[in-house]
Amino acid sequence: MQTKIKECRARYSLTQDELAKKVGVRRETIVFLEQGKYNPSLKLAHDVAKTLHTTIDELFIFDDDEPGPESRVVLVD
Amino acid sequence: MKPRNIYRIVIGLLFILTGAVAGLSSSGNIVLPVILLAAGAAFLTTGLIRHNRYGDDPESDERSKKIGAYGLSYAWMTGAVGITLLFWGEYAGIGHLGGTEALELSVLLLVIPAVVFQAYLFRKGDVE
Repeated sequence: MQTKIKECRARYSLTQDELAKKVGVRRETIVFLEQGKYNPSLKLAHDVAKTLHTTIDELFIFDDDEPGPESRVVLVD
Repeated sequence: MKPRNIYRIVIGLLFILTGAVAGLSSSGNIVLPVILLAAGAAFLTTGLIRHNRYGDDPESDERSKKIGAYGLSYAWMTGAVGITLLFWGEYAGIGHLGGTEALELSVLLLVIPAVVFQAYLFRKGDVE
C-alpha cells in the first residue's frame, strides 16, 4: 500500500505531530501510515482524508488498484 | 496533566505513605510494608514516566491497541505450547519440576513472549 499523506500534509503545512493530534492518534501511527506499513481502520482513513480535505481513494493507493485491460468497464447508454 | 496520571501519582504516594507508616508501626513483620512500598513506587513511577513521555497526547490509539492485543494472543499461543511441552516432558520423565518451578516457568512463558511480540510488532508497524 502507498499513501499520499505526506504530499497532502505538505500542502496544508501540517507536521506529523499536528496531523496526529487532529485525528487523535500517536505520531508513530502517522509515520507508519505514511510509510505504507500500517493498514488503518476505515474510521482513521476517513478522519485523515477529511482533515486533509481529500478522499480515501485519493489518499491510499493499493497495489491492485491499477485496473488491467480485462477489468475495464465500458459504460454504454 | 491527564487525570489518569494524577490518579496514578496520588495512589502511589498514598501507598508509599501507608507502607512507611505500616513499617514504622509494626515490629518484625515487613511483608506488608514492602508490598505497599513496592506497589506505591510502581504507581508513582508509571504516572511520572507516562506523563513525561506522552504529556497530554494520547497514550494509546487503534494501532497500539491492535498490536497490544495481537502480542498477547501470540504470547498466549506460545505459552500454551510451552506449558504443553512441559507437561509432556514431565509425563515422559524427561525432567521433573516442582509446583513452584512449574508456576514460575508458566508465568515466564506467558509474560516474556508478550513483551517480545509487542516490541517486535511495534517496530514492524502493524500485525500483518
